[in-house]
Amino acid sequence: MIRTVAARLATLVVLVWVVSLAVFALVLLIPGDPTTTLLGDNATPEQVTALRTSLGLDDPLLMRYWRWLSGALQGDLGTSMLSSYPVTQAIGDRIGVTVSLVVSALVLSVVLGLVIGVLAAVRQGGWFDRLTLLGSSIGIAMPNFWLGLVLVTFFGAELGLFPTSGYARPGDGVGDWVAHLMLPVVTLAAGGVAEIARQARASLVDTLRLDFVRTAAAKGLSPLSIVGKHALRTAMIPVITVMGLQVSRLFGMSVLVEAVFALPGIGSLMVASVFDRDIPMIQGTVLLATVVVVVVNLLVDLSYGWLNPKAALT
Amino acid sequence: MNAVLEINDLVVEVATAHGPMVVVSNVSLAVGAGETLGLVGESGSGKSLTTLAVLRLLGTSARIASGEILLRGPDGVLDLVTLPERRMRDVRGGRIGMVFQEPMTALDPAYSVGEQVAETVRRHLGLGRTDAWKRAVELLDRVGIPSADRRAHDHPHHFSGGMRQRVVIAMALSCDPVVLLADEPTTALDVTVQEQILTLLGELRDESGLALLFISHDLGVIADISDRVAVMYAGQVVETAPVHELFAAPRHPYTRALLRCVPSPGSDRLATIPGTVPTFDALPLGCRFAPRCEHAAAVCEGAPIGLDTVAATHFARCVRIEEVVS
Repeated sequence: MIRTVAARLATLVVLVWVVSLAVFALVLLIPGDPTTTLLGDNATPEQVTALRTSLGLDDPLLMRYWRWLSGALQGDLGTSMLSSYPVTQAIGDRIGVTVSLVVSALVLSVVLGLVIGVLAAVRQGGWFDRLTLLGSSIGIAMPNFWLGLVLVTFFGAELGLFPTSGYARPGDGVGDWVAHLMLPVVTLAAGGVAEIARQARASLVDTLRLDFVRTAAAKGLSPLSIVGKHALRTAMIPVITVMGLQVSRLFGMSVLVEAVFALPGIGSLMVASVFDRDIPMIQGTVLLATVVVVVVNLLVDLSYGWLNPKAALT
Repeated sequence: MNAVLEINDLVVEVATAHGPMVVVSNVSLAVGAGETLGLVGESGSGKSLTTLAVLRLLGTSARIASGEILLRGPDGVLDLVTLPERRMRDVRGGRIGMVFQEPMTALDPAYSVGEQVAETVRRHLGLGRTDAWKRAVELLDRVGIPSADRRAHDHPHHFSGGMRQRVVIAMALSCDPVVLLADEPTTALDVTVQEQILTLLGELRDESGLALLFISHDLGVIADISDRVAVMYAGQVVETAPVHELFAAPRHPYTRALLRCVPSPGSDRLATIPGTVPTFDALPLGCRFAPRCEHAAAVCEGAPIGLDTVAATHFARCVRIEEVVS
């Protein structure tokens, strides 16, 4: 197990390094010159040259990469070109919003998705099962920015139950924090609930047909124990894969949802910095998102070994 | 004889698109303490469904339509057909243990074999974790798992088929059942391992006075372990007799044909029974074996045939026994 983890960690380091190269290179491909954004269209060539020198844009590529990478390794992702605000600090200011949003949506997707999937599977072919199949098809097909707008219109504007935009820190009142997150989290989680419910149902239905489930029943175990302890553990393997994919998906989708609900998170920071060609900010946020996805994939891989001891050998 | 397990007129139906279809027709069997009843028949003869019906593990597509399944114990007689599900769970793995055909898939891949045995012990005997684990190790040792205290921590994929079957047997016997149902327990194993498992089951039966219901399609295995044999064909018991009598003087044409199919040294031709088992939606009205029977006559076809007494403990479902034997 320890050797597996060490090997995976080594791959992870290499992977993140490759990504850092890609992230750095990506910025070179973005059209436009950041100095134009900073100085406006009427800047003199002298001003442009001076700014390029002070930003280090004229240094050799490798040197610029090394400067960025060594900074990043020490937690310094550079400073914003627009505000000369440190990127790390900008991320730190906003990460709470995105983490609240994504983690809440993930917890909601997993809990609700599993409960629905399991209930549908144990009464396969029943009314709840058929409702789940229909509901999950709709949930998967529905674009979530559209769902967001519907929720805003209905629960926010019509009923006035929840605020339709903005964010409140949990420190300023937990009730307020929950209320502000309610609609965005539901919007973000809808697709995840549908995907996880569908996968959990399919996987559990297959597992319940296996011989060892019959053995568990022949031992006199209760249905709760047969499903919860025995069937579900094997059935979780494909579900965990889907959950891992959901984390990446939720991060991606949070960009849209943060835009719809005007939440000041990483997603909106990323969008704003792309429009501003704020290169250090783009690099920092993209690198962060990648590291999160890579780490989640590692956790997913490691969980296979626990769920299926046979997989731990390889 | 006071049977520990007695099945009377059991009827099992399977749901089909055209309504229920009877796949086990009025089967009656009885097994006493320390006795082994061998249940033999081809695939699809209803022998597995009969056993699963005893534990009410038929699943969603099949159900017990009528009949009774009596389990005798010190506290009286239970009818397993009508027993509430909650009390049925105490019977499964407690009073009645079951060993399955496929040891490779019968165990949960996610838990150690020790835990899978200990779990049953905790469930029925109410022991704590430590005591249940100790008992699991003892049981694994008893069924012949080498260095059981160490191996109990291993997961099923570390064991061979024969060893896994030993684990399943340990599990089935963990709570001192009075009845053991063994559904083709040796079929998936190598011949040498088969022999070991048969010996083990015989020993365990003799030690604890278990009533053993042993299902197999293999007459050699049945001859080896059984005291009495019931032969099933197309959902019916067609002959039942003490093992020596059945092999020495079979009465039903199907039993006789089956015995001829056992390869013997010296003959290089393998006998077969002409024709195929009828499907359950097109069963003959009279004798179900008649279409394949070399002795069939008009009397065989008109009406269902009952089990006739051949001797005190020998019954056969055939109206032309005299002609068949001569």
